[in-house]
Amino acid sequence: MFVEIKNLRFRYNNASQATIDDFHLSMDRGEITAILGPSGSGKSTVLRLIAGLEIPEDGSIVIGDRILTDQRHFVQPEKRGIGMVFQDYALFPHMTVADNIKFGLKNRGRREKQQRVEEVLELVNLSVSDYAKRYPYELSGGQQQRVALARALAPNPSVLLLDEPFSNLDSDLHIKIREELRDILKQAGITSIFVTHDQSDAESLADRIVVLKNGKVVEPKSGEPVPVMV
Amino acid sequence: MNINRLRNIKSNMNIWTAGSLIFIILILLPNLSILIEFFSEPNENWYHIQEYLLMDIIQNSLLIIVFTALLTILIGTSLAWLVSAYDFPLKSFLTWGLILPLAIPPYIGAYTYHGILNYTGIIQTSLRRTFQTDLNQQYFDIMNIPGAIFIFTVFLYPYVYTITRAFLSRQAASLIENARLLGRGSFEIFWTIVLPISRAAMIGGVSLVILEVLNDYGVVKYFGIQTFTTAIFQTWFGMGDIDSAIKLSGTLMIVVLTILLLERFLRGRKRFSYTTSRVMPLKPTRLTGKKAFMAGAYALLIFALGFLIPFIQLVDWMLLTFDTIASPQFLEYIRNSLLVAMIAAGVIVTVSLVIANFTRLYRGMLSTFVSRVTVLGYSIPGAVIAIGVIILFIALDRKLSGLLPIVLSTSLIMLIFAYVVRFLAIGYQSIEAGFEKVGNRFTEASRTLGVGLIRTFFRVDVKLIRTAIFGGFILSFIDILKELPLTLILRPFNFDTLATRAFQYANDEMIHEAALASILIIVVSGLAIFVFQKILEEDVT
Repeated sequence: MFVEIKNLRFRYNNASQATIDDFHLSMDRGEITAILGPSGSGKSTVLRLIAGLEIPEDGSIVIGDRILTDQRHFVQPEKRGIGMVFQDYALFPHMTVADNIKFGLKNRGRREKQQRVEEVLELVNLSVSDYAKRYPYELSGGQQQRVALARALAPNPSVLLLDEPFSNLDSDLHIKIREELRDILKQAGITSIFVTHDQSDAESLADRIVVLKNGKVVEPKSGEPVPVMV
Repeated sequence: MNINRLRNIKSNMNIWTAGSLIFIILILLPNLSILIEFFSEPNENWYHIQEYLLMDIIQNSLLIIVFTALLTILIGTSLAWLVSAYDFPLKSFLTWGLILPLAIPPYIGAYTYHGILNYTGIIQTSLRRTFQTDLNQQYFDIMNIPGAIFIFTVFLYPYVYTITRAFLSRQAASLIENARLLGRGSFEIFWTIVLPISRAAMIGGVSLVILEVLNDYGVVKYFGIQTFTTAIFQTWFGMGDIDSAIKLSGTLMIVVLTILLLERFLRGRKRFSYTTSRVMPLKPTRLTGKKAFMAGAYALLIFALGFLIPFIQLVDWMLLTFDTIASPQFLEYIRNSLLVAMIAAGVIVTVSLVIANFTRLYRGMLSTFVSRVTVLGYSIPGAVIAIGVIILFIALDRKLSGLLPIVLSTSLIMLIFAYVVRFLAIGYQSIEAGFEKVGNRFTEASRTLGVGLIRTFFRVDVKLIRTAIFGGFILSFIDILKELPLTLILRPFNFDTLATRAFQYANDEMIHEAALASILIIVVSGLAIFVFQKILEEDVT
């Protein structure tokens, strides 16, 4: 398996109960997994643990034979090669779209960087000439999301994490972007994990769905459909 | 589990953690050395001080503190209420004009008022010339405890005013409007609603006032009132007795810590703000006729006492003495002032950035403790910090004797180090607030893009909080510019700043000559306050 997460446990400072308990997940390369759960189920925390933004109490994360965390190891987020699209996109407000995308590109010449910017903007269906020089505040919510996606994809991460990718979009845009996002991810061939509280988002976008409740994975019985969220 | 903990420590260990810990130890050292020396065997002087002086000192300090606290609460809160709840003539000017007295350090205010009121001052000379009246000198004597209370009140009330006003205009609108709808009169609302709900804000403001009063040396020295700071100066400079100076400093430190605990206790679990983020500004009622006049006149009177009158008098004196004072020598005082204030403010901002970055990245007991310690220096009077720093540097010089080309305890390094300990809180709080507003998500985004913490800091964090960095620099810069007791104790021989110069002229009964240095301090502080308020306003909208 490409992604192998085993018995992950996490507790916030001063919290008596674990936020994540015995989380596990296996994924093939190129697969899209949805982590589905109500708010407060700890699903965003799982993404933060995979990205290395939180340190787990226990458990291991292995991606492509590389141990990212276990009892002895902890690889810092900047060394993991995992991309993340934040819920509010977190585009750097003091940089243009092009500079935001170039931010994660290291050890490349100017030409190469520019070329990569053009590639990923094309991938997310934004025209380079129209958008590269704009600042984040000059973009609509949908456009910001595309730029955030392009920025996360630019350094060729091994896994892409998306935190509630549709929560900041209005409902007309929602369905259209959902279709498009699946196409983009499949076209890029990238292994992706996204969290959502919306069953239909999970069903239409993901190859595999993991349901999370109170920090624990709810196992579906074989052959049964995924339990419906309340 | 043990391996686990080792892994956690290792993954949290970096220059931010290490830097913060080193800085924190440096800040704690002078304070700790006072507390340690405090319990050493006392000498004869100390018994003498205990027997003949200590009671007076405590009594004087308490009297001044209690009355200044009461008066600043009364004036500060009533003005805050007036400008938040009503419209009256000159209001938009007075709203920020009422902050301006903060630009005048109380010691400058003290000798200015003495100069206005004494036998050769403008009031008595005009009375003599126009009415040929010679009044009893006692009526004009402010060089006593009530006089000191007056000075502290008119120059320090803005602490209560600004904090309470911010609270009232941001938080209390719905409560006050409800009370209005329920048919309560405005006077009644002030007593039954405004005063009780702004208790936390008032206590916050007034504890700053008290700390300033305890920190003061210039006013009480000029007025000849015996307090902790004057006694520390006397034992150190007059008798060369550092042990007794330490004992006095330790006692004062205990008084300060008691006040801080009291503040905690009085404020209880009430924070400055409600949890609601919905900001609904209070809609001011327009006053008319006599009421409008009274409101305007009251606010104007306080503004005149706290800023206009002393400022005009100083300008007048400055014009009288400009030709004799403005010399190359004077330019050197300006240069010295700017130099030490800029270096120290620069160090403060740098240290604050390291510590604030650490405390926001790693939440937990250690970072809570670290962030508390940074605030410590601001509560402790300058004279006490100065004594602590002296102990530390003398010990350092002994240890390092011969290794360094300079003697640390007579160098500017000691003065700048002391400024940093004393005013770190100012820079730190501004920068911490900046980080809090921006949040951690940009840093996290940067790290997931493969950029490490240090490069993230320079390419993202610093750029996003540059207003807060600038604000922290300006605020600590002004405070250092105005600082007196610490500078007087720790400055190298023959090193004068605008503040020490102004103070010395006044103490040599050359009040007019002190005006130029005073005005420079006031104008720079005033401008900085103005700029800062503008930044704050823009930030809010």
